[in-house]
Amino acid sequence: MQAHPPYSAAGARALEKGSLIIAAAGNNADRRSGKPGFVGAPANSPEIMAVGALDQQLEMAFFSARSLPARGGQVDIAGPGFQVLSSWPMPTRYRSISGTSMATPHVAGIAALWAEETGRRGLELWATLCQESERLMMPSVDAGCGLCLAPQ
Amino acid sequence: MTHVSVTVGDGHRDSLDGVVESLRASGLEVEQVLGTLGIVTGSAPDDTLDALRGVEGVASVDAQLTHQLPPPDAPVQ
Repeated sequence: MQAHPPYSAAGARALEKGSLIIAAAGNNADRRSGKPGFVGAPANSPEIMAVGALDQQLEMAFFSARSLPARGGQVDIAGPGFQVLSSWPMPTRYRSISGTSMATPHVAGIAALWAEETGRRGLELWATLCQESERLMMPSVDAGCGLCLAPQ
Repeated sequence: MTHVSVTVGDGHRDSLDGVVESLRASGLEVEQVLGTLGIVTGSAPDDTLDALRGVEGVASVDAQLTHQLPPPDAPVQ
């Protein structure tokens, strides 16, 4: 799957201006039956950070997409994305849901904390997230640089 | 008609208005001009897409992708 040129341009031009775009890698895997899936648009643009989902054991969530061999189709980092307590329309209020769409706002929030802590933006912020992440004993094609960590 | 995103090349981002005028003249019905990103969205008849690609300053013309979220009660989001 080729990166979509306008998404790549938007990612690159946002980075130039100091904004980092973070996107969900996608939920098209089914690792329980050996299907690794693939990173979808817009996360498959090299200029956009792609987030995979981890479960409570820090294993990949079964649905979390794996990197493609093609440039850009890689998972960059991972965050908690399995049975995460979330807000829900009234009157339910709260429910646990799963997905790389749950892991992604964790990483975006942590990026904001690092931006506050260090003043870094754009590509420098991207590098900081990777530098500070906890490495996991699993292939980088699954978890990228590992578990995204907040400043301590 | 195809919904398209037109990506303007780096060399023409400072003269976006001129590129937008040329795109209109070549058949693009402009919806949004995203100045900071250098991207123009709109729709155009399928037989004008090659003409749009030929406009000076245009880096690419791509059919817009569609995204469909899972239903709200799906277990994986």
